Amino acid sequence: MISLILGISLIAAGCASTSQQQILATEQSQVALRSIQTRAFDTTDKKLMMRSVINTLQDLDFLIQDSSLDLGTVTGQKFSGVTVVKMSVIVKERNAKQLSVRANAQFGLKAVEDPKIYQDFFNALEKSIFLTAHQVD
Amino acid sequence: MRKYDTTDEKKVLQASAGALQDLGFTIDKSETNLGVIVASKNRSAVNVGATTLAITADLASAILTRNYNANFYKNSDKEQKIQASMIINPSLSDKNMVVRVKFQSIVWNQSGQVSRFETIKDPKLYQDFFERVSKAIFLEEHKI
Repeated sequence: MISLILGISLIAAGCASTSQQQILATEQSQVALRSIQTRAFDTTDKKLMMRSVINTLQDLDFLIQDSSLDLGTVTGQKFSGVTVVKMSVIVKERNAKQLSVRANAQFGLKAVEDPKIYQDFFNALEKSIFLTAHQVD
Repeated sequence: MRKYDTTDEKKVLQASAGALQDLGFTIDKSETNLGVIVASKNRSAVNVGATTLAITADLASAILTRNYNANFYKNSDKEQKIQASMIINPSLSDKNMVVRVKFQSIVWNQSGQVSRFETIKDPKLYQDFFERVSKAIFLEEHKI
């Protein structure tokens, strides 16, 4: 009986991830994640793009918590029932003619790595800025 | 969302910050280049009627069961943090400024746990708020 309990706890200790491992953990690979979360737009107007991102997040019920024109970041938070959803978007120059927009969300205690959710966000952003969101890989 | 008949973004930003301060909010963050102002205030969330009821329920349960383990008071609301985010944009077509605002609140109970979150959607609150912003823009124009 005691050996059974010991056995199970040893296995459990081996399987459980420590809280520190969460710091660098992701479900998808780094490259796959970038491709899901990033889109390129045919414009170089960073300020206008950022204003569109801010308005799109506001439309999606997020409350804007922070933004920086220099860094190109916008962060917002919303509540879905009892879960807090946080989302960060970063706008950067991609090349001479394009900007890249990368979004990154967390739903409660889990990172959002489902491509559909990001696709929905980029669909809303496309409508807000009247430009096409190109896939990047 | 409201439109204001001016193209002076700085004036609208300052008036909006003023309106928030009039309501007791402290400004947490702002990015004037993007027209974003984030403010918050912490206030009591104690509802006197509900708390009295909770205390009475706890006492009643203690007397009836001869054991104090009821949680009505512990679960009653204690304090809240109200966060506001204002976004000011020039309107694309006309020569005016568009002001948007959103309020959210987080409520904690007496035992320090989060009781609820909500995005506030009451239209009257937003209407009252925009009236204040209008007043603040007027005051800003007249340098009060």
